Amino acid sequence: MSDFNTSLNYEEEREEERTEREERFYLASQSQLIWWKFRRHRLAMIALPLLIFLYLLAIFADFFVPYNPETRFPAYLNAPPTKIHFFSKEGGFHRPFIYNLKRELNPNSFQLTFTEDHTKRYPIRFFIKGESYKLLGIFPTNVHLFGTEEAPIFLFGTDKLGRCLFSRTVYGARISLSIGLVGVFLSFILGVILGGISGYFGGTVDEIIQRTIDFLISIPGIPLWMALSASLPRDWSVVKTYFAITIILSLVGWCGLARVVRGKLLALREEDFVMAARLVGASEWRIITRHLLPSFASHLIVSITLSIPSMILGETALSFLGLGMRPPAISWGVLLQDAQQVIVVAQRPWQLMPAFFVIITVLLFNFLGDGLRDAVDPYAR
Amino acid sequence: MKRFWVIGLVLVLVFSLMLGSVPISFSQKKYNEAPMLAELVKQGKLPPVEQRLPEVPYVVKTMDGAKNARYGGTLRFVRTDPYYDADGGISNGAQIVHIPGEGGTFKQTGNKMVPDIVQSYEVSGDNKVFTFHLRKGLKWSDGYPVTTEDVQFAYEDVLLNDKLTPVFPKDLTVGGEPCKVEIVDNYTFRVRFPKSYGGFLGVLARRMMGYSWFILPKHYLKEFHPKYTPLEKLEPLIKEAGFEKGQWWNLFNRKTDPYRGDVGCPTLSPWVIVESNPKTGVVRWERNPYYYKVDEAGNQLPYIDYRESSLLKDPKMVPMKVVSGEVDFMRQFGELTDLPLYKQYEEKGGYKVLLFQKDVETGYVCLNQSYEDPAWRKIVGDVRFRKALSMAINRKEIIDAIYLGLAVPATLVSSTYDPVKANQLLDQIGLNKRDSEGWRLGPDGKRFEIPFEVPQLMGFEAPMTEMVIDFWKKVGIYATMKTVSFELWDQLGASNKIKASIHWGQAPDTWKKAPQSSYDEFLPDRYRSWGAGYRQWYDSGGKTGVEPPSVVKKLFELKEKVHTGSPEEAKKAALEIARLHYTNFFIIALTWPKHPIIFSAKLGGLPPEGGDSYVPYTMMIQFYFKQ
Amino acid sequence: MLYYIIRRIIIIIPLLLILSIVSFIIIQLPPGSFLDTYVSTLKLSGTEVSDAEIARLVKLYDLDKPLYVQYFTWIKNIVLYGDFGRSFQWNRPVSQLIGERIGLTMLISILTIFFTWVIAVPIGIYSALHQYSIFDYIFTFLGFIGLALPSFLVALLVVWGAFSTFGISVTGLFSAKFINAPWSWAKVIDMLKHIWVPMVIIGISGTAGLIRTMRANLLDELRKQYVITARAKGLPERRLIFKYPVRIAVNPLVSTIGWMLPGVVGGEVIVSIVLNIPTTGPLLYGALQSQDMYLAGSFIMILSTLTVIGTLISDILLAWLDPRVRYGGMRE
Repeated sequence: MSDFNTSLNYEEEREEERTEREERFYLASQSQLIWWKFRRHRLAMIALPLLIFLYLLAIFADFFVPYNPETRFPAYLNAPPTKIHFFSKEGGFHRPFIYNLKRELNPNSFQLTFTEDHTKRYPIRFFIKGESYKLLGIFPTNVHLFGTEEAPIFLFGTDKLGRCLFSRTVYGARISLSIGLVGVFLSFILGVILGGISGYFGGTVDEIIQRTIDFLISIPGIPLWMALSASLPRDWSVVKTYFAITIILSLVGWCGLARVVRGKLLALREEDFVMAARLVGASEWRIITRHLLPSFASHLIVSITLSIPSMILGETALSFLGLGMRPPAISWGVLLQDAQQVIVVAQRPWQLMPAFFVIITVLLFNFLGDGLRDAVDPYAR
Repeated sequence: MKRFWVIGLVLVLVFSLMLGSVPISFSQKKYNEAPMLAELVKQGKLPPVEQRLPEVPYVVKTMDGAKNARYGGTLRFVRTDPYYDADGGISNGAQIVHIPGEGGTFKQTGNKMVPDIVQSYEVSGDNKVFTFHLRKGLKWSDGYPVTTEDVQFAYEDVLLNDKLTPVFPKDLTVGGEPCKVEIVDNYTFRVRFPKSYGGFLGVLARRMMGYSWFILPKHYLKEFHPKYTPLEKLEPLIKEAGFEKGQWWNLFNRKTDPYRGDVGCPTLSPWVIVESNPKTGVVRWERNPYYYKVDEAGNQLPYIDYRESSLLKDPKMVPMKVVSGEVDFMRQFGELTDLPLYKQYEEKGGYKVLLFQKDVETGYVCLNQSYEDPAWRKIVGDVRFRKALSMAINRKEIIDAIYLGLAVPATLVSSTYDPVKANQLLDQIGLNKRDSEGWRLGPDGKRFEIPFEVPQLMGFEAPMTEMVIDFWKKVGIYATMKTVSFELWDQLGASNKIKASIHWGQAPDTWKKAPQSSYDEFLPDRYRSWGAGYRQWYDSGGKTGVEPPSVVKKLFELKEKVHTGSPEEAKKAALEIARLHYTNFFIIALTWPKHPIIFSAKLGGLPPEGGDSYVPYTMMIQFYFKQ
Repeated sequence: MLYYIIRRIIIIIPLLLILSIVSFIIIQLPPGSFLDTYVSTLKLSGTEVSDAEIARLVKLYDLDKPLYVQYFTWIKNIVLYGDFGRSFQWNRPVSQLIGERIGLTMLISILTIFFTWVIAVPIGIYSALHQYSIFDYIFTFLGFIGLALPSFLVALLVVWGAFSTFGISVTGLFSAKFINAPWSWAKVIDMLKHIWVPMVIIGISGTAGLIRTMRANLLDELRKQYVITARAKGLPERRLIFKYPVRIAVNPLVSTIGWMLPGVVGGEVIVSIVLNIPTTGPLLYGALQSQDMYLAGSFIMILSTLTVIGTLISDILLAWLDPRVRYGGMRE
């Protein structure tokens, strides 16, 4: 008898739960809905914290890396990544440690070989005091997340001048991760506004904007870059020059987005819901922003998330052509300049590490964009 | 008795038969030729080798070619320029006279320039008149004889023609006045200078000078010269070559440049370009059947029949081509940093890497002592400042880092490393005050800064400058680096706007050995911009630029002595120039690296390792393929 | 429709004129001239260039005439004679240089585009139809990796991998013995053996992007009301999908076809340089590096013109495909 009662109660409870959940669902705000849908996309959920982590790495680079990116270790040129050991030769288990590397130049092959010197163990210490720096450029300190005493630790090995590649890669993230944001942001704003006006109003406004776009698109990118990079004032620092060029190009880059927006709008403004909104008395602005835009917001988002990584890839490509960043600036593209040699691929592939970071970052941004797209789409279940 | 006669008759018969069967021209046939040419001779397409060579050919003392060489083979190069292959071009030269040791024979001693195309020469006692004797019987690559007609053509119709030579070559003038060429007879000509020009032979012997100032194939080129062929006849050819109407000189120049122009002009070089295909990028040479050099055994040179150059667009892919075994000779792109890779694949690729001493010293740090800021000049112009900065640099560390230890410190200045002394010197000259970060302050109380602007030409510039900046940090001198394109750097240097830069220069050993043939890279210029302003002053005769201090003026005077004095005077002046550089640190010279050169494993007749890296070019005529 | 096209064509002419001026300015922007680069290259290879030689070259290349004269001569020659000028570096007419390479460039570009579309569109459709399935995830992942790889690094890795593992050299378009040989069936086969390398490398990133876009577009369409209606009305699934949503999803892609035109002719620069393929991309790059004025300027001019034409084609295609676009402007 009681079982029957409990089961009935159980049913009722579940009914209540369900209604509660549904109520929450119906009452949820737009952003909450978006967040919930976003959570369903597993790849994006992995990507978001990883990207945040990467940016934190970049901002607090000095803390996370053991060495200053300019510090040279002349005894460790082109050294391979340091192996981290837990078990010593004698068989004991220890805190993670490393061995020092002895360098020998083979007189026949002219190769520098590094062998571990097993005589002494150097434990990895955390929050170690190392070279001094200014955290966020303001607070002087010398605490590093990890490091060793005496024998240097190179997680990614060293470059041809004996500089820690891990330190340089993390520092390089500062430029590489930020370089696209400004440009993409600018292009996006310009593209959406101008493309929207063009597509929605049509007529002469459309014509003028279209001709301008035609003209701007027709100027090929690479020659423009080359010419601009040569004609900017010579006393600007390399970084300043790069930002200048990125901005200039974004002023040309908005065209692509504008065309797409225009195309979509041309098609959409004939839709019924637009006419309905107009009949109800909504202003043009309201129609554009609240009704038209969201319907192709997903396309815009795919667009942005594919733009940031293509800026990152673009910087790498341009550095290959010798047009982007140049030493002594540090970015992933600059680091890859040195790695693009046959001898690196053949004998020191670890120096290609920055490429791995580029790929990962691009992947993460794409996952994120994918997740966002699914989340923002008003029709997705 | 009868027996005696019979035996005697038989002996006489046998003897005369022997004599008869021995080629009559035994005494004349002392030369051998390549089988491919012998074949053509048999077919009647080529005259026999004795008639192709001059009466007195140039004899090259080979490494081992005379004993072991075989004719034949194709030598493969690689290049990145659409048309010009440096390895192929530089090794295909012919000189009127050459520097001892650079005419094919490796070991040649002496200070006098060795006659090459010419058989002999005389110099008047006052160094004003130079008489040259062409080799009788010397022929162009198409068989036409070389005579002083060709000299007259080169002088009157080319050098003196203002369309072909808008600016008369400076090296053929002394004190601003040009030379005069006189024809004495069919094989003798004279070059006469208004003033004493002891350096003339040195200039003629300069590397890659060639012979085209004085000898050009008249029989071929007159077809393109309006003095011999009316302009109307030339117009269709001009049009075909794509030039504007009337611009016959462009057509003419095309004909004399086999790389960027047309193939077919007769030459005196060991190989003749037979094809330059723009579509496939392949350039091919064939041996010159009339080449005038032989080895000690009388074999006509070169040993190798054909050469080929393929076009590679990305210089970074050159190592790929080398390790794949697709290159037989490569000097142009030999980088020490690639050495471990080359060594690793020597066997798989079928080649050898040999190390030579580079013909230039690198790491010439140039602080512009003629920059138009008096405050800057006051400090940088002080010898002690430059000496201190030089002593602050650890050349050994740079050599280890950038050249894998395969270099020696530069010889232009002292390479002492003594940062303690450097600090002392800097304190002494008044840079003893420092700011809160430890940087030395200039006389104006602000941090003294040295901004480097460096081009990316040979690859060492950026990393070496970074290391220099690092070393100077340790003695409190603040320096920065900006990399610039070559064009920009060139312009800035020319207008004396660069404060600090880094470049290379001909190795002192080379220009001390043959100073009159040097490129004067011990003088300041737009590239070695330590005195760009001084150079302007000198070139303009004092009208523009910055007046140099007396010690630099002495440099210019000494250069004049090198240029115009006798070889002995030039040698003395060169040593004095070297001494001035050594004590004054005009240039803070850093390193003298080795130069790896790739040779196919099948090649023989190679120069020994360790010598000047330019010499293999001149010895290519005695390379041969083994087996 | 016709009126639309004619109007557009008329506007193009002043546009081209402005483009030519801009192209010319772009070339002239960097300081120095071809001569400086030429001299520096010679110096680097150890050749000294005397002042006499420089003077001769200045006259040869007309570099002493003022800029506007150079510009007008150039434009005049293009319009009147179809003569794009002479390349300094190659010492041959520009039209010859470009003409030689254009066939090969277009071949590779078109093959790559074909390869990209053939692979990407079906995968994109599949991904959209089976959203969140395991294959969707796999393709998404692979697609993204393809997007993220820097193409020149891939080229280098592929070349090295081929050499160290198989000992073969995949650079260039032909093996050594076929380079100078006349065209034959064997030569075509040899070329095919080499051409897949640049095709795949260049195509990888394009494929990935296309998959993403196709998938996104199709997903958008599939949500629309008319799809549900059609399904409710009993239209068989396959016919439904392909007749409407796919066609509309492909629209934006089609509008990008026009922009491909300059790319097809311009070719891919970086990979071609690394793989040593004689296409037009490296030609332009080399011209810009050495400030080969006429070659670079003419090439940019050609590319710009193609972009304009390509845009026109895009717009026409779009108008033809989507009748709603044809009637521009709001009817009041």
